[in-house]
Amino acid sequence: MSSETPLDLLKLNLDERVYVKLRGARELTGTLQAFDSHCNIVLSDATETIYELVDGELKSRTKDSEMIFVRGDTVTLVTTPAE
Amino acid sequence: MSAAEILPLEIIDKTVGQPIWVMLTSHREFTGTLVGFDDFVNIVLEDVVEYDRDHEVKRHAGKMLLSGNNISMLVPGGKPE
Amino acid sequence: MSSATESTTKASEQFLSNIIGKSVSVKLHSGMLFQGTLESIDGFMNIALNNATEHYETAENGLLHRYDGDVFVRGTQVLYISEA
Repeated sequence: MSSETPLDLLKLNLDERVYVKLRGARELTGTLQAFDSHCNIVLSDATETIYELVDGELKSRTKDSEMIFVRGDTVTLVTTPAE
Repeated sequence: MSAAEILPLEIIDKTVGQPIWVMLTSHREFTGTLVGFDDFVNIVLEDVVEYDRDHEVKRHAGKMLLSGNNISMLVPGGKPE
Repeated sequence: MSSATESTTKASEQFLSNIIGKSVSVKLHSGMLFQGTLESIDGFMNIALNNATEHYETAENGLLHRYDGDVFVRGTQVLYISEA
């Protein structure tokens, strides 16, 4: 097994912009301030996007937060934002 | 321990190298050759067929590590035709 | 008594050490499928993938997303990891 665990590799993203995919068609982008082994995450300058089907049509809305704590059990994926 | 007493996982241990049918708590099922397992009953399979109910989803030529988290039943011998 | 014999316990560890750097498929409980190069994996099945693509159930169902950076997938959501 490699000496760098996946959580070690996540450390490289501290203080960088990250994209976090959550359960239930939600995603967040923000600056990664902190995380732990449960994947509890703190993001600053974050934008949450929530996708919903309204009458069969895909709608999305966003919420901005200066600082947000995300409980680890909803997290499915963490990566760098697209661009 | 009496001679007649057999631990459930001893049966699975004897299935290593043979076909096995794995059912999850969802409608997903897997068949393949049992390579091994660990104390959490995470399972390593080879030449796997993945099913959703009876519909074949995907074939995996190599090895697979299947999380023990959602396994409900293990059937030595594989899935009947 | 340990339920898994030493040789079978090795099977999962051996598998994990053998597939580092290889092309893998990772499926989540939700049915999302990720294909990419396995960067690293730990005992909780937390996974780091490189050049990952995202699909629903099988790659034949079409490409949903391509990730350029490393992708971290949380172990509790992982159903399986398989070779290529």
